Amino acid sequence: MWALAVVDANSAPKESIVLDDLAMVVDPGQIPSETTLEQLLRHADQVARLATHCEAVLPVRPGTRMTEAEARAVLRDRSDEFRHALGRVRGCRELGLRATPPSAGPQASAELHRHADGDDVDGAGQIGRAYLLRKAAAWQWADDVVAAVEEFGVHDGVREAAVLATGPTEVKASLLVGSERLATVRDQLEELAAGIPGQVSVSGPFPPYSFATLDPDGTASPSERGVPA
Amino acid sequence: MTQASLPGLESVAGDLSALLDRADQRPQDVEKGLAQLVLSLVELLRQLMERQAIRRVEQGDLADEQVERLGRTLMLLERRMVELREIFGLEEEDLSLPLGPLGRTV
Repeated sequence: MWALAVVDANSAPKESIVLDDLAMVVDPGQIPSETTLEQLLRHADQVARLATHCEAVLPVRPGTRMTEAEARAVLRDRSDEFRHALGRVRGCRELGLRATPPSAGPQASAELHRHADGDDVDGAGQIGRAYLLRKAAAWQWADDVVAAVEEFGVHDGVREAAVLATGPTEVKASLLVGSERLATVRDQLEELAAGIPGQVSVSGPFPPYSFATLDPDGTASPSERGVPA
Repeated sequence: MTQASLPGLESVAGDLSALLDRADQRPQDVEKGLAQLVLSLVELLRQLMERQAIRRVEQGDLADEQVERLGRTLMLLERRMVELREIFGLEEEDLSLPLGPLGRTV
């Protein structure tokens, strides 16, 4: 069966595997030989529905298969960790922010490379410098976006801010936000996004995947892929 | 510094382990996965070099010629990475590595 999420036992649906105060919510549906896009979408939909009536949800990484015995073993062996993680996300949803820099990027890059190939001799003597200056501006943009997100992290209602990816072509961040302040924080985040140069989008709310996704490999950490299972 | 304090390396080790688990079933996946891991590390180093070069230029202690040469070298390196990505059918975001509290590389 597919493992969907760990939740508090008292809010778990009937088909869950319960051990003490924890429950592994599962989908007993057919398991194909490969994880398909359809299955991933089904997983996301099921977790989203769970999040509407469970205060705390730790989504399992999509495509994770477990037997009932394995699910019980995971719940037993990592119960303290799961209780802590559930406490971390209880009553919270996630908002996302994705930013890409002002669109000088690919075109300007192609232009520079064309100069470097010697197609256009004018200005070819400054190509290397121009490249570095463009990169310096792009890294500065990324640093500024990260600083803005971290500053936003102290807003009332924001429990945590996590930068998921940072580089000169993209910055991705997620915020763990208390449900009671969700609408206000989203509005404030939209305002922040409007002030950032480039293309910036705000997404969510959705279950706190970036803060609590269980990874059966046990190799991830909370700041990267979530709590390992 | 121990491995436990290097989340990027932990992730690489985990990914290598997963690759080995699949090695007898899907060899073509393993080849692509290994290329992805290697290129991710190279891309991380390339980005670090780029940032270091920018710092040196901003400090102003490089001659114009050196700045030009450095910039051209890094530009060609970036182009080569794009070519290698295309060879293995990888997108830029496929070369992302988790760096713990610093987030991931892009």
